[in-house]
Amino acid sequence: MRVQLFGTCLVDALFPEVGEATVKLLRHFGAEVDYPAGQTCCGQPAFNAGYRAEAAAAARHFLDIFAATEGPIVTPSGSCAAMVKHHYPALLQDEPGMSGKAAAVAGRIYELSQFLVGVLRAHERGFAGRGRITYHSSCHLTRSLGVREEPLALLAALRGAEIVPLSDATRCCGFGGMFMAKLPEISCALADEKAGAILASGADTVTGCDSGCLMNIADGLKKRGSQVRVAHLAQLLAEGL
Amino acid sequence: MSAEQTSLQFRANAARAINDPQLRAALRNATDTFGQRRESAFATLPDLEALRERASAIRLEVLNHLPAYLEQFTANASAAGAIVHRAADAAAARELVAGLLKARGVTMVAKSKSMVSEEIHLNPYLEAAGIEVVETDLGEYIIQLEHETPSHIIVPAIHKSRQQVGRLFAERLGIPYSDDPQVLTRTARAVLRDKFLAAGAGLSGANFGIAASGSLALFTNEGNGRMVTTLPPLHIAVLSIEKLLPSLRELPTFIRLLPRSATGQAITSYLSLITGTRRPGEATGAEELHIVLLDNGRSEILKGACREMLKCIRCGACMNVCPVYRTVGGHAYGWTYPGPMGLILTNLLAGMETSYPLVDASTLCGACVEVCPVKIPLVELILELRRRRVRDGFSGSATDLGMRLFARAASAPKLFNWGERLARICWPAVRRIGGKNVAGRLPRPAAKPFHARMK
Amino acid sequence: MTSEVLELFIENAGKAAAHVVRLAKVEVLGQALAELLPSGAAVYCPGKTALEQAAVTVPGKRVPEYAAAEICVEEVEAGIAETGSLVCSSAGGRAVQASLLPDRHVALLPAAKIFATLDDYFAAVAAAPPANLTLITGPSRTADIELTLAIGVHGPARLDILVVGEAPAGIAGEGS
Repeated sequence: MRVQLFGTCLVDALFPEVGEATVKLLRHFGAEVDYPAGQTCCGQPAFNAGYRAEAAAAARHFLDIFAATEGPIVTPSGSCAAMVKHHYPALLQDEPGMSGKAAAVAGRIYELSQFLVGVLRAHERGFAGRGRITYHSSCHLTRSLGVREEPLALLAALRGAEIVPLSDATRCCGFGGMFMAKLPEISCALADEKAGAILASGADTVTGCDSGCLMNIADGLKKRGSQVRVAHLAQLLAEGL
Repeated sequence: MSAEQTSLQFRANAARAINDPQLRAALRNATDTFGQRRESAFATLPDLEALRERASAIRLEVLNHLPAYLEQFTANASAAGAIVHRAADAAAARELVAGLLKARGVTMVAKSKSMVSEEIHLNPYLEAAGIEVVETDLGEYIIQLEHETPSHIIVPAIHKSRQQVGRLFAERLGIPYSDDPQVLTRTARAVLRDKFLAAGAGLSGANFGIAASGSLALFTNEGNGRMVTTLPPLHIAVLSIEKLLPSLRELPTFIRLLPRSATGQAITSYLSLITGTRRPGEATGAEELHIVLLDNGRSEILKGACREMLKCIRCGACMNVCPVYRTVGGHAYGWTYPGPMGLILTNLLAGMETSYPLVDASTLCGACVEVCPVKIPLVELILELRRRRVRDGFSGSATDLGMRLFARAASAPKLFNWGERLARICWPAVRRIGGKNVAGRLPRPAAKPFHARMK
Repeated sequence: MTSEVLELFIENAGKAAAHVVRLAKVEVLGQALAELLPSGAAVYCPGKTALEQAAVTVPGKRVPEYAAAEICVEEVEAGIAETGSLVCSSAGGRAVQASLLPDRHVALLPAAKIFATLDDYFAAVAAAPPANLTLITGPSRTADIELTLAIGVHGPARLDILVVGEAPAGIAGEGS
């Protein structure tokens, strides 16, 4: 099968290794990966800040690119998948031509772990794993998309790794997109609490499915002088192939 | 802490709160405890989802026919002997209440907890009119002694440690210092008992008005709500217009949801249903009952896109799970209502101009949406308020410009990629401008972005 | 009213920190009260209903005013099994606040008057509620200081419920 990859702006600029791991994984499990050229950003930063017109501009561009393709669209970000799935249709509902595209594309998009488990059944194979890993469940991934079990199923497939529980795993890490920039004091305080929980878990690695969260968590851990590795689930799985 | 609204200083308020270790510890203890208690309480209730759906439907039914329900409530309450007043705004409500008390020569009023009375700043107005107001709810009593405002809508003194309360009581009541909550509670009981018996009037809120019977429903635990509504000859109840239920048959749904959502109790120690005045030959109830129905902007809200906020039953569950509230507490929000419901309601009631920073006080994590017993789409409402903030020009010209550039770049890949390259090249300058608290927390952009690796 | 409903009432009242005693017949009421109440305490009892009159042999000194009493012994209007609640009503000239002021409330509840659910109870009173109906579930309490539970605030610090008599078989609340 052929999938369309949406890298996301964070991955593109700051965490390209997550994109590479995603491609490697998808290809390993039999998918042909297309990366539509010219993709930029899903528009979430503008949308969340109340800039609907600007978000719509980004959405139109996204739809122009992806509506010209077919098949599943996969992205290594729960919040971006949620943006496309839940907000694009309403954002463009008054634009004839666009609203149909939005609905169609919204029906095609998957977050990576959702696709790996639900479609490719990747969790049924084993991966090589090591160390003690703990998992932060991102808010949009769990509450917006309802993706709760899939990352856990993939982690369970990391043979050789010990998965340790994270206390208050579902509590927000404080990234919140623009929130990190607008209310940095609160963002840092939440990242610090999350770091504290990670340290208390005894893990040497913390993972998750959203680069924004992981970035904020990494800063929290760094401020505590911690050596705990922060890695996107895609990276851990790709390393274990 | 004065009653002045400080929502415009939210970020500074928050920063101060973050650096207050005692407050942080109190908030962590409270929100963790609330979380556990709520979870235990709902574990034994079958089909929570159906209950929430039903509660939401009942509240929407009331909102969709509010004028008719208000008429019905007024007619039935009046038939039972109450006098029902409509107050268009805070000033009207304050004048009304003060007028009623002064006309009867009341010099001291015993008050049980009412968030809407905080909203209209009733206490300072009555005090200025020469009427002593005694808060009898333990948490409200504590903050009254401290000259503070509530920091949570259910547990007003949650930001205080037992040691702080112990020192307060020792200083202000002259008792030997104790930080044992049982001892402090018994002290309050003794001090306030005299007040209940001497008060010329009782002032209360109400959790719900029941339209079909004209009744007031009060959920309380301490017994003070029962005291102020039955001992003094005059009872004045203030409630906002949207707090109605159609009939007593709808009340059980809320009995099952409200205490569990608020404190993790299956039911509060007391649920008082007050229907009119003491009838001739009866031995319970006020001789005179005045019910003040407050609008204060709600009719307007009802017409707009945020009307679902009026479903709120003031349980406090949303603030108990909010990561922002947990970190900064209630006072940072700068007005009467904190947390998710607070930032929305403050914006809707007090206006964008005095509260726009509050709409940022959310990571949109959605924890609140999961626990709201009446299924208010809180995150959607916050997004709507953010849209309004931009529309009304309160977002700041720098952000407006930044977002316009973003829109341009997001639609033009060459521009977008060029921007990435520029950011990487000028990273030290970006860091300096962005500050260590923001840009300083981001890694340096990659030398080879992902799109370049996928060519 | 089935014994299941009665058992549920007793269980839920207990969870709310009420002390519940089951008495099969009104004849043993005096004895039960004698065991329960400290001698010498100032007791208020309205003495209006049959149960209250059977309770007239309580130890301690009877006081005519509830405001001066340490203990209020009174029959209550109903019970609700779903929550373990008592219902006190102002109907018939009763003083609901009589059980509020003293430090201890001893409630006499006829078993036949226990409703199974909140819906059952409110359906029964929806048509014409009296001036005051109060559901009482356990003693008064607060958690306003550090969320630590303190029992006995403005209302009673202790609630005893004596459930008296047999209930007729059938749907809860019927015929009461």
